[in-house]
Amino acid sequence: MRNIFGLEQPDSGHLRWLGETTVIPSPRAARDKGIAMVFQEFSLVEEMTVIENLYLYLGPTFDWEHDVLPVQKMLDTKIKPYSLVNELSAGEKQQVEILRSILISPSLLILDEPTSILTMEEARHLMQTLRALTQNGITILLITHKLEEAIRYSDQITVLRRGKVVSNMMASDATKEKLAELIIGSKLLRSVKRKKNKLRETKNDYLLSCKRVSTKQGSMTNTHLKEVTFSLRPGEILGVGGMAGQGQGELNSVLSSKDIIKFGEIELFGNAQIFVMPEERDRLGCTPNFTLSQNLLITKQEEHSPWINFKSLDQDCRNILRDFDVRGGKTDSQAKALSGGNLQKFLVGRALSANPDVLVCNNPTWGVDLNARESIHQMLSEYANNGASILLISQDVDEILYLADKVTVMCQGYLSPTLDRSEITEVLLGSWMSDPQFKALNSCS
Amino acid sequence: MFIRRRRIAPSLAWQFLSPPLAITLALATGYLFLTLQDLPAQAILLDFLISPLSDFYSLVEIIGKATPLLICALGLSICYRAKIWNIGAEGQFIAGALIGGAVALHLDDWPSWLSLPTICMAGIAAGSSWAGISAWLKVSFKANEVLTTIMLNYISLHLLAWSLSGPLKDPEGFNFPESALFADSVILPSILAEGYLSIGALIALLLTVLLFILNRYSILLFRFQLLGEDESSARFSGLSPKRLTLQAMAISGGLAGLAGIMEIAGPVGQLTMNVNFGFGYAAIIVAFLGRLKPMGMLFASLLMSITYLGAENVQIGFGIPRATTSIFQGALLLYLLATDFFINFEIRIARAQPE
Amino acid sequence: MDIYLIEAMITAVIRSATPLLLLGLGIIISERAGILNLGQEGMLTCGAVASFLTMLATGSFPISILAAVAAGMILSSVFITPVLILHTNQVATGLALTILGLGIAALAGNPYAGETITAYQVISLPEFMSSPILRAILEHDPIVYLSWIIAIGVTFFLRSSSSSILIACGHAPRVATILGHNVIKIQALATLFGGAMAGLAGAYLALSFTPIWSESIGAGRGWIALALVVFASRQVGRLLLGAIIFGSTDILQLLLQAIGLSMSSHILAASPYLVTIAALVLLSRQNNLNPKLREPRSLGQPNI
Repeated sequence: MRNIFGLEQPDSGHLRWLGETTVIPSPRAARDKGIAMVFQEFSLVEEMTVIENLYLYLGPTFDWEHDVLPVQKMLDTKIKPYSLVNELSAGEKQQVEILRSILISPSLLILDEPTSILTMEEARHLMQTLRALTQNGITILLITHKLEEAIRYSDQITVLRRGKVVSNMMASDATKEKLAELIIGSKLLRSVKRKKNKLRETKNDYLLSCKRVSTKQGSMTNTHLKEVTFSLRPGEILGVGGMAGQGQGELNSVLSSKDIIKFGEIELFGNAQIFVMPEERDRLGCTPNFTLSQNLLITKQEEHSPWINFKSLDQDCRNILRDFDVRGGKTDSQAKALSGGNLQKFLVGRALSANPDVLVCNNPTWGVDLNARESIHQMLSEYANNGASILLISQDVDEILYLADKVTVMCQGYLSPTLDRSEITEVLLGSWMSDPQFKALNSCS
Repeated sequence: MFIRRRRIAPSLAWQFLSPPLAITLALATGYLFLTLQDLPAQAILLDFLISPLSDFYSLVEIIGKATPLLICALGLSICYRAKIWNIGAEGQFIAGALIGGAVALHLDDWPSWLSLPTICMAGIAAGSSWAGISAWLKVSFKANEVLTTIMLNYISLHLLAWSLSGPLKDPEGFNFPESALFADSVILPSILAEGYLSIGALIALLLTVLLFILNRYSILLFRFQLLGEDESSARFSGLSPKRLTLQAMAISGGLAGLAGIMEIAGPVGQLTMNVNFGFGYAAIIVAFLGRLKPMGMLFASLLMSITYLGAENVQIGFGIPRATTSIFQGALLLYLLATDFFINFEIRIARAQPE
Repeated sequence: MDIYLIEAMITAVIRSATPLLLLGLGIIISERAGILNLGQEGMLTCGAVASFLTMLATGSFPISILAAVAAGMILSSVFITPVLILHTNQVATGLALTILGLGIAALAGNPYAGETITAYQVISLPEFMSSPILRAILEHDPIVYLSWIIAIGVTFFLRSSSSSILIACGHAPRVATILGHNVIKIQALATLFGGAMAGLAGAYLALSFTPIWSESIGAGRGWIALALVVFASRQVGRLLLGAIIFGSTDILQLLLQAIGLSMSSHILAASPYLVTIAALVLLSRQNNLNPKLREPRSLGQPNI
């Protein structure tokens, strides 16, 4: 899709546009041909206002009242021209992007994973809007990993696997199972749910507990925590759901260093060791230019202070590569040389090899292929079965429902009450993700 | 059509190839310019680079000049690895010279074995504190360290001028802005029987080896590198970027201060405005040219030292002003930065578009 | 204080603020585009030597000014080419440019050290405007007027909608590329403008401010201007204010004598640098809170 938009050039082959073979050398050429694109990472300048961002794309030739308002009406949005993009919510930013794309009257609109940052309600609304746009003669290319979305809202589905088209079908012929099989290339490995493990009793019931923890307002873009309370028992996986940027990063930081706490307390019982895995999605997980050994050393600094023992470091690193089946790299290869899945396996392996009593991981399978995802889930699940507790922060609802014993949701810095997995439903999770009051639904009060 | 691609791993070959290539390019540019001005380019360049190597006294002087350059560059490399842009080696050098020199003027009745370490420590402390100002401003006020270190360079120069026109002026110095000559007991001993090469050269060599070992085995140096490579990762692993910044600047400034006092209590022998200042800036080039690696900087400092002597030679021989040194140095740094591109990128000839 | 002292002081402040204003305008535009060019001192000094030598050869002020502008632009292209094409480190490349520029200026000006030229004449006001204060404010040479015109131009440009492209390059070059803008071209043009301004500032120093050649004619003004731009958080109005404050430190000696204090000239000479540090400290912190005043996000970052 970066080819269509002119950001990258094909090595071979050609594109046909409206029946003619064409070359799209640049994004501007794509726009001139009526191709618009909404990226997963927004292409908005955070420090500028909405209207300045529109200028950036459209030039100063449009009029807010005259050109933008009708489109806003059509999309049912209420974006103000002089608000800073920085201050908009993720959903609103996406609306600005779509607004801007439609203002060039495109004939093709490409959307890359548009619903990944939206609540279920917002996503449904977006999908309906997109359907409405097709009525106006706009062709829409929707890139998504959500199978249901593809089946429900599209006309035609193409499945890509490792850069190759593996199938092309009408949406009416598609089923979830069929698509999933095409995507991973084999039957879904996942069949058994994690068996509920017996909780070991310790002197203290809890390994980790957070009581009404609030953090200072850091930068403008960060959500700070508001009276977050939860506790973790040995052998338990607590899943923290919620959309991106609701304070999960802060929860991570607050558990790794306490200097940002405003009030509240965090307690670790019985000399429990905690290991907080940095989030790779925010590129915090590893240092790409460092070798794998050096990346391991980052978390083992105390052991190697003041002098680094390379012999034991390399041995530890080799053990991780072996035990956690990390392929495509040696101890002295740079982290950036590893594929996403292998890197994530390395990072989980690095965390587990530190043998912590409490592991905090944040989106451990983000951007990882299904096989690696499966083995990471296996690793985490086994580790919890051995009596450690895991705080699993994830934006992936499936992952939480699959792994966690208990579930809670984070929204605007607040944490919902903790529920047992059996009590939770996808509908309840979905509604809590956009409601910091966490009102119970009628069915589960 | 040529296209560039990022290499998967940095090219080791280019890491070694780019400095000689940059030197060659800088010389070629010099050749071109000299030829354009109808000057005997070949003879001048030979005089510039080769003649300083031809006799014993020149060699001693090369090593003597390389000493402060190398010590300053070793310190700078620590900061640059942490991506702290300390441009203030010059000011820290002067601070070390000034305070160390002031102490030296008062310690002329102490025995050498006691006074020399004392004045060296004074120089180190002065350089360290001078750098510490910028570090403190950076960590507590987020003031850009490039600008504060440069401002402190200017301030230190004026402070030196003030001291030499007032409190430290030689009472018998006919009003020249100079201090009295240091007593022999506060002059660093020579390591040569013939000619003067201060023990500073040996210390520089020892420091180079020490940094070479520390770079590999010390967790502190690893932390500096981590801070430069990935600050958020450093913070996440529980390190304090503020503390590391203060430490790196303090070490760096301390080394520059040491270089300053050893220059004053060595070849110069008094505090004067006529010291060949500018070492602090040249050390930046040495650090980059040596790729921030101790052994690389050792060679780079010798090369830079040759260019200083060479410039003096061509001034005497051909009447070409000494400013040519900075042109050569600036061009060299530019070429080096440019050729470094090939460490991380490769140029491929793109296949023709089928059609 | 008598009126003539005040008049002299106002004139002096404007005269020493002018080179900083010119440099600052160029730096604002290039930093807004995300380019951090630390080579200002080199470009400034080369601009000065170019105009000084041209003046000696031709005796024409306009040609000398053009020569200075050209020199600044040539030097800035020496900076921007490796930065944009070969992704060199901007800090190091800027330093290299400073060293190179100072060397070139010293070499070119070497035979003329200490020589003087006739300074640019001020443009006299019409007879009826004879108030000394008004004369002090308005009676200057054409480069000062030019700096005011450019300042107004830059202000209007930054308020116009077309500046959003420039600013987008500074904050998010990737976004600007995706939206179809040629970031490399915009950054190159912004840097060339910066070079032209530094050259012009150099011309002012050589043709008007100190029309005697000395290789240290820049006296760190390039660096001070860089700090001033941080102080001004890349806003023209604040830059003007900053330039005036800094211009005032230059006449501190005059002022101190007037009130009967005497201080070592060396300490006074260090005062602009001290004030610069103080300004950096005072403003670096709070600028980060307002997103409109924040440092361009990708300032000095290679655009790969």
